[in-house]
Amino acid sequence: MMVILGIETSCDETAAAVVRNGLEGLSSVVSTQYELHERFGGVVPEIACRAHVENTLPVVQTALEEGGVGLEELDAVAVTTTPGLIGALLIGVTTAKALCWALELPLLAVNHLHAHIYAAWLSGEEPTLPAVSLVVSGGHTSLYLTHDRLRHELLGGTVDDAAGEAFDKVANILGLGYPGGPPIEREARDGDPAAVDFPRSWLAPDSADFSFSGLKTAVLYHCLGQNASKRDIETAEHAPGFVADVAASFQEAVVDVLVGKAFDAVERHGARSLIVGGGVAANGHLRNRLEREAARAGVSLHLAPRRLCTDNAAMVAGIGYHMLRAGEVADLAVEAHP
Amino acid sequence: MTCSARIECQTAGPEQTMSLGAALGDMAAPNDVFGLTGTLGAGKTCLVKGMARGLGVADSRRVISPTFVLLRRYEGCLTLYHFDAYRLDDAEAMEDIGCAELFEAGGVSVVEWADHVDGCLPPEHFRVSIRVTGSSRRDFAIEGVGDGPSDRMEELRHRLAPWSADS
Repeated sequence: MMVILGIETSCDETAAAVVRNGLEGLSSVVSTQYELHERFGGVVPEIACRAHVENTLPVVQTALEEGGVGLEELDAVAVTTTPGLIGALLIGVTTAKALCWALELPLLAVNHLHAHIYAAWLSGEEPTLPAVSLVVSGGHTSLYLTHDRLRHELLGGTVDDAAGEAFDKVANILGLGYPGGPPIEREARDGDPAAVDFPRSWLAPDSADFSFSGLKTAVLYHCLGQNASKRDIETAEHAPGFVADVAASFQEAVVDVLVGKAFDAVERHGARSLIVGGGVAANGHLRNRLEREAARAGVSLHLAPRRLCTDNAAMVAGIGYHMLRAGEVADLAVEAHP
Repeated sequence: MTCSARIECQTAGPEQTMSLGAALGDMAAPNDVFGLTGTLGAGKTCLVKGMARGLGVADSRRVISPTFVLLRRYEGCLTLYHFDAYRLDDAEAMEDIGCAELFEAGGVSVVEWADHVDGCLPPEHFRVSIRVTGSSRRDFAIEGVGDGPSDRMEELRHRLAPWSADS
């Protein structure tokens, strides 16, 4: 039996979790700043690094307490070392190194995106491999060919904005606050997804790359014309029906592309299943469309559990268990890579 | 501090914006800092993609928006530090991510939404303002702030002649 502490500080969230044997979550603590973000109208009032310094030790302590685990019971510490904001990553990495040095424990250096893919295993299902994995979040939109839990081959990714970023920016255009995913999904329920024919960017026919920048701009032009300043965006008022229709049409355009490209990749690579993780994978409409398409195409679909889609440390501790078993232990001199 | 005359350029589509960016990247020197302003969809990230190409970043197609992560870094002939202040609201927040240190680290720094973090740019920098003038047309105004950048404006004007708004 192995108990692993996971630490995640790659972007906004400070997170820690205790996971037993790679699957059994004993605790998962995430200290989000969403309330602050929202109060300040979508702008981070205090930047991630400073907040991480203040949050990391209390969050780790809470995760241990909630998990009912003492430091002496840990078998290893797993930490996200890449990719992310360097100053933010460093705080988690330094904390993990200090713990490993003091407690003489193995250190596991986790790739944040691989951890998002591993979140699908935390649903308790075992994806048939090879699988195609889609990680779709605020900072990333990437497709991988997953050979096993630890080996992922990058097939393509966004060439401009991530899908989650498009949600955040469109929510800003529509005056819906931050983060943009949940309010757009909510508004879209009352809207007509065919109301506005927003562009779907497929790039080259066989491309596994994504582009969402043009869609964001198309939404802006549709709502406020071509010359809207940031101030115009902040002060604009829209009729409720209009907001619902734009939200629904925008969401439909994003989902069409994500679903289309994911299943194209499954077919092209002869994959047995499709894994989807990352913050945008919490979107209910995307989940429904993926499920429908998976049933139609006879592909087994593995979605990360909703609460483990956004950044968390349970996925970090979980994949860390498999790294430990595979002997993929990091040196204490390991560095964070942006 | 001197502020020399502006260079005005025009582009008609993302490809041209990237070429203009490549010319800027090609003339960039160690420790140059570029502050970019322009509304959503103006083409700031597109311009930086071109700058990366000009700086010799091997896969400049992979230069993507840093809005969520605040800073991305690419290796070319010089290191490109690509900042995005969209989610920030003051210079202090920008300083928190270590911008002062990176501005002087020998690479080339570009700050999107520079108007959000006024005051954190060094005394000498280039200012690039982008204005949307059509669905794919953009106007660029480039200014050198401080003696060093001002002295390089003539060279820059020559390099950017293909996109000059006067020609």
